[in-house]
Amino acid sequence: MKTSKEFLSGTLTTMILALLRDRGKMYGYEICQTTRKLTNDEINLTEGAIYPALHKLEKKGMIVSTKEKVNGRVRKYYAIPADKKSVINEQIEMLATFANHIQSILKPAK
Amino acid sequence: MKKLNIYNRIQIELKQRGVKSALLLEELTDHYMVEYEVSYEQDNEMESSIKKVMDKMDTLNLKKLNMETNMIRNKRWIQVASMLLIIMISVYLKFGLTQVSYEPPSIWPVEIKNNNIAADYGLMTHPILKKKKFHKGIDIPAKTGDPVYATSDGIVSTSDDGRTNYGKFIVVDHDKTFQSKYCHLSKLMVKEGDEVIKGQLIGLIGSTGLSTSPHLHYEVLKNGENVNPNHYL
Repeated sequence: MKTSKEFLSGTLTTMILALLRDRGKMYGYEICQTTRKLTNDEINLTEGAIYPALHKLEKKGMIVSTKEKVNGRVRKYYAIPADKKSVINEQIEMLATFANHIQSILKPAK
Repeated sequence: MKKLNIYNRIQIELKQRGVKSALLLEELTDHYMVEYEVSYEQDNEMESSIKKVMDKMDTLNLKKLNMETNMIRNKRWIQVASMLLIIMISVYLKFGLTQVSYEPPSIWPVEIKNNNIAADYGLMTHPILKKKKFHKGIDIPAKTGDPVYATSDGIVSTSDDGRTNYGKFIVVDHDKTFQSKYCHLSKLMVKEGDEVIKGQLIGLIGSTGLSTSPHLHYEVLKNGENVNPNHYL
């Protein structure tokens, strides 16, 4: 069974923020690719999911973008601004704790 | 040169599939270019790699994505526009639709002939009961069958054919504050719930109920309390 869209809806932005926190600046394709690798192809983010999420985060000021020339074309990189780091850390921590709780509920009772 | 061509082909293809926003187009073209490069690295086949990338593009999803990105970028504008729309609608609902009932009574309920009032508002001896009573309205003498008019725009809340002291009577609600009451009628010409306008014929003079001769007993109520109708003629 592949990962369902519904599971992603509330957690996608925090996952993106976590990737950006640990890897510095990243571009859209790279985020999709890294997620795929980290989850053994289980979580496959589409363009339709990743870009609206990135643009929303940028609009909110949680991430900032820069443009760079790569192989003769423009690439848009996203990164976390210094003043948002602590808020974002908190948010990531909260989701991690939440995920643990979910795990303790989902694992079969002995 | 080759690379630029592929870049252009991908960009044109994306445009045709609904990506109109320039910013998104630039970002997505880069995205699909990487897809192409990864694929080309694997099988070293330019055309089949391009085809692979094009096959991955989903027109419906791209259109949706384009729309969504536009929405995100123009969110504030859309919010302002919808706020304005809501304000306009509520103003219209408040003043455009309910204006029908917005003024206190302001005219005579019958045609003024000699302007006389048989029994004025206030304390008086009741002609039939012969007791001192507070007279809650004014009595205007008239002939049976004379027209009775609504004294302001409003909605008929009572049109009573019953046998109370008031005889056949009508109550019209104006704004939330004011009501007007027309009693002893011989004929009711409006039903409860009817919308009436100022000066509209609503009934005919009579002498039904506790009455000695044809006249109109006319009351004005403000917040449910009787007030002197002379102030609203």
